[in-house]
Amino acid sequence: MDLLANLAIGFDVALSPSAMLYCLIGVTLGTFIGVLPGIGPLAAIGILLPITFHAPQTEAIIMLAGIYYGTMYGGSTVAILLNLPGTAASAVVAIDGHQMAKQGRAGPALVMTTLSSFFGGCVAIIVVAGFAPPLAQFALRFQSPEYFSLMVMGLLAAAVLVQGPFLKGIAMVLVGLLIGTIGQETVSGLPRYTFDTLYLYDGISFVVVIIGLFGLAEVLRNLAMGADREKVETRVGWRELIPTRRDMADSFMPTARGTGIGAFMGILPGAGPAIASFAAYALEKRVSRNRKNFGKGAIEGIAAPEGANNAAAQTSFIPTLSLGIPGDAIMAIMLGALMIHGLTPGPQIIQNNPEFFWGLIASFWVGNLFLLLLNLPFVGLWIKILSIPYSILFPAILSFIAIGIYSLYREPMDIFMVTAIGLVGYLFIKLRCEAAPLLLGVILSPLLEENLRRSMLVSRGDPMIFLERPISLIFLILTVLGVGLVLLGSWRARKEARSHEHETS
Amino acid sequence: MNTDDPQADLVAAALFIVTGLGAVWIALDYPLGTLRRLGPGAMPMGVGVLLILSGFGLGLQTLLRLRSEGPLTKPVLLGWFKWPKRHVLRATFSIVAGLCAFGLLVRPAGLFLATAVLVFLSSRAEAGTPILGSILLALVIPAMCVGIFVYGIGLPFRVWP
Repeated sequence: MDLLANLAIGFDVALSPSAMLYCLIGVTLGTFIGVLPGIGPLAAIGILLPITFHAPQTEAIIMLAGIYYGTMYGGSTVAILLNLPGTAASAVVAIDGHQMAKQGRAGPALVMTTLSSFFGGCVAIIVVAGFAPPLAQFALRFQSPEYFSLMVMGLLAAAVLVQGPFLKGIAMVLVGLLIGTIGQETVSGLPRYTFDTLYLYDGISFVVVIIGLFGLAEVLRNLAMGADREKVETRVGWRELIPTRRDMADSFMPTARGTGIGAFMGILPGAGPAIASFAAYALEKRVSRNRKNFGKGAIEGIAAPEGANNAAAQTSFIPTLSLGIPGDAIMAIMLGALMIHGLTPGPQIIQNNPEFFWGLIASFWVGNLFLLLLNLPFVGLWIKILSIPYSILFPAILSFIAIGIYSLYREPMDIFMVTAIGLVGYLFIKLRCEAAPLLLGVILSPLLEENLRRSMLVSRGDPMIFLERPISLIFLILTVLGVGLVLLGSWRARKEARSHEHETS
Repeated sequence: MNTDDPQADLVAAALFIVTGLGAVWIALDYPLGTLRRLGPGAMPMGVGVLLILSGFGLGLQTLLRLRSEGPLTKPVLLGWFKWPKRHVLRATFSIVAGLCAFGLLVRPAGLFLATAVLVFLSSRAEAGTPILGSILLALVIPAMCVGIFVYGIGLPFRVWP
């Protein structure tokens, strides 16, 4: 049993005291930030990212992963208790969860989210352990044309899934690709878009981009809301924590179905946890016996999306680790973090760094267990965090951002850069441009360029190479199909809305 | 949140076009290379052109949509531009000032003072915060940060000037 032997290596790493410590710190910090309303996983990771760079290689990624699912747990908690969803994924949980809380059943709702997430996580770990190595084996055959097409697919998927016009998403990806070209070109050494400044020779660090676009811009947005910022009622009371036996029985199948959907969606490029939980909720609404109670506090409406959410969060590591191609913005951050630590994600990582790969996977399980232990007894404590006034919180967040960035390269220019990017990020929010595709572009830009150049070299300047190689062709066909389907769907929805308007007027 | 905002889309489209034009303009100086050997200018040029095209596409799509809904008057086209409210300006200004001060001070004055100035300036972002509260925060938060980063994580920062 290869799998068991591999998992044994993994647990060896994940159960070492230092890994467990970093994992615990990660999930705790993640939950802490995740509970704060308006700060989603991206902003949370953006704020906490620099801290992880001072940990050893494997521990740093374990901690980052812990921060990631910690924020998701924290987000669900606030979504249920206060109907303040911090992320798209927790918005789904808030639908029925908050209704349950209103009926005095917040306890069972919270316990159920934790249990469903734990279940989803556990299944997803097996999926990751089972699928990532064969996928990596398969990907060993990939050459630059395949990688180029795969990246095009990932970038377009990210662009298509943006809310609002499709071209806006595309344009944001392109802006990201342009930002990624800043700095000295790798082959010729020609400085591009550096405006004759030495600072830009190394390009703009993706850390600065993330913290500016997601961390700082978020702070600005919250402050600009001013008096409109939602006032939080912090007193939450519930009678009993433990779900009834019926709750458990009702939740089992939805959790299992949600986990299945989530595990599948997580692997797809561009999809990720938010869409997985929407899909799981939509499915449950159709198949559940209890469907008429959906939206009125059905426990199934929590169990399914939570299972999906967590499963997808973990299976989305599969393409990131085994192909080196991130599916969404969070995975793009993970990829960047791996590279900063000198690990090259891709098919070879499983062979060359088995301790890292299997250790990370095993740490998912450890992290989920920590969350179970942290969340259930201390829910009340997490809620208390909400009563910290924002006027105290945001100077602290800003200090964290500033010190964190400065600690990376000791370069005061980075602080000015992050300020500028934060302002741009705020402008993007005002223009309703989602920044996630841009980030994916920034990170993939050098890889895309290198693989394009190599492909053209191999084919002696014939661009047909991308269509002649079967695997590459399949990726491109999938891209066209996927984009076509989404565009058709939104076109139909708009047409329907328009004919609806005509009827009413 | 309502994500449908054609006025914002128009401004975004204009911005994309300007960015694309700027990128292409600068990239004219970089060698394009040949199809077989792509030069350092190929990618910026290609991406820049695509960006201009998507900007035009987005703008056209939005204009057509707006026209189908009514005449294109000035408020319809430029409705996005509004003078920002006072508290927004105040918040933005104090945060930018705080971060810039941190960047300028952290090397000569050390971590504690730089953070203290950052906290003090940025906490002025909200009009309701009393001066005394800002001063208190500017003492407590830097102390916490020094505790976490220097003594906790063990980063070799210079704390004092």
